[in-house]
Amino acid sequence: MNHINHIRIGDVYVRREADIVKVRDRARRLARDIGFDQTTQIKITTAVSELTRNIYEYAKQGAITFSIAERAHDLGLSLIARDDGPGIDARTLASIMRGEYRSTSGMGVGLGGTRRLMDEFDIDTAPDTGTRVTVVKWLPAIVARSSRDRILSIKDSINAADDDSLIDELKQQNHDLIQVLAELEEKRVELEELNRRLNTSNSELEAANTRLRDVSQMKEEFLALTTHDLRSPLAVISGVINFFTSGRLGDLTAEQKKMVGMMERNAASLIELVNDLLDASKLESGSLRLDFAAVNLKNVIDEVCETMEPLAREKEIMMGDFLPADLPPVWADANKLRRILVNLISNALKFTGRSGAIDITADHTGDTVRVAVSDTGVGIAPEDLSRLFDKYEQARSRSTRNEKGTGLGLYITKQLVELHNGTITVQSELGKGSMFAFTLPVADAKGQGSVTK
Amino acid sequence: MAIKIPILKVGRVLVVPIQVDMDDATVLQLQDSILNELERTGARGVLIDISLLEMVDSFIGRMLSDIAAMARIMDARTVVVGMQPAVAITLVELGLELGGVDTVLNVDEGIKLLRGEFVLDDDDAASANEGFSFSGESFHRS
Repeated sequence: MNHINHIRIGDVYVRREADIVKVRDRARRLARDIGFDQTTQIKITTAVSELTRNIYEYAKQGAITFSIAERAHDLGLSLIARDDGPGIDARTLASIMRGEYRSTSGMGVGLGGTRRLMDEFDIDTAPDTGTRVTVVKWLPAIVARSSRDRILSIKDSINAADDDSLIDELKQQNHDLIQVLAELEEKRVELEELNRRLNTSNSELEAANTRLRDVSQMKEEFLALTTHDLRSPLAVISGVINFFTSGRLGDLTAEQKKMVGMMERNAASLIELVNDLLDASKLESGSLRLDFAAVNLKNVIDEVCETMEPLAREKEIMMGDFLPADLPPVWADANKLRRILVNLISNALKFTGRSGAIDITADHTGDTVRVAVSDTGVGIAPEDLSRLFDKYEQARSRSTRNEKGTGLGLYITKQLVELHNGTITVQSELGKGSMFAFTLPVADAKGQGSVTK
Repeated sequence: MAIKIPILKVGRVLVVPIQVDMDDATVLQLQDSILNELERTGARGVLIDISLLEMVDSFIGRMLSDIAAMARIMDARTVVVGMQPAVAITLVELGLELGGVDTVLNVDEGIKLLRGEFVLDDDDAASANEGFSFSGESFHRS
């Protein structure tokens, strides 16, 4: 379309929806003044309406330039619709021009239809560079020839009218500016109000938090108290049971021995449960104090294995430790370390079937010692692994519901390991077995670990 | 700034004469008013007269289709009457199909078509003889 000469008549800005009607009206009058017949006037008006609508819809603002088009002896009306909007990418444009595009507001015929309504159509667009559509409708040659001078003079009369519209435009812009300022002020007030409300709810949240902390502490204290109170009568019960089993109250019949045995086992598991609860509540309240010293790891492991040996023998489980000779002493609380090992080994025993095997190994790298307890037991499902060290986990998990225990064991173990500045990890495969490994710091030459807790 | 388009009730038909070039707000408002009047009056037909409309672009075309579809759901049939030949030519060149909208030449044909749609029971005959009412206020032609 390079060889077409555009003699500019005027611009109409598109900023509001009402401008669509304004542009339409302008186009209709121009088309009539230039000398188009009624059908063509309507075609031009419709095409302009589509172009203007696109500007308003996709770019929010833009402008329509009306010009007289001149090419050799031909005369016509040219319209340039331009905006700085998001533009159209090549693929969407192709689909629009093929008439396949489905618009959400119109009927997706805008650009394609405009091209059919006009004689010349040119679109220049790309994403983020805006869109410029140029369309021309030529006058029939006979009209162009007979009223050439009149048409070329239209320019002036419309331009005169355009000055008015420029002032209008300025007025409108002023008005818009004032409106924007008012809106800004409104936003500011709103923001202030929002801030104030935020502050209020913040302090409310804080109060609620404090209450929550209080309640949580009360719960811990209650747990510590009750478990402590539970332990005393239990101690008496197991003492009395001892009287029976030791034979100091005379020989028992086979039936009585069976009953007392049952009492003994249940009292023992009750004591274990209460101890777990007590430890958990102590850990939670942070009142558990560790008594650190350089500890000979091999001695502790041997000791624990010895106490667990009868249980292993009962289930015909092979239990052995493989410890290197040069294992350095670790910086730990011996009692708590024992507790960690007992928990892990008794877990291994609990979940390993007859004729299985449990290995305890240790090695040291740098200033940490790593102890691992592996078994050939039932293993742990992958989906349970992440929650394994949560409190009361066993109680929730379906696979171990048949086993006794509070499910506090691993939670306590993890807390204890962490109090030693160590970490605990688990690897497991369902049906193949599990391996729990934890680290402890090496006690250094001065007999002090890097532990600060 | 929207212009109000009148909606007249004639018998059980709503007659909507569109006489000005409408901006989008007016179009949407008209759509709402027609549906509200359908619900209020229980009319069975909508007759939209566009004989004075000089331009139907894709937005107005879509509005006409939408009104017809919505009215159909409300058990009323929509007929567009009096389209100017030039507008019809433009619509075809634009590639706009007024899906689901029946078009007829003039108001008479439109009323005839809509009357044929629903059975003229007693109630219908009565309200048809009443003359027409304008937005609920009924008055007689003199």
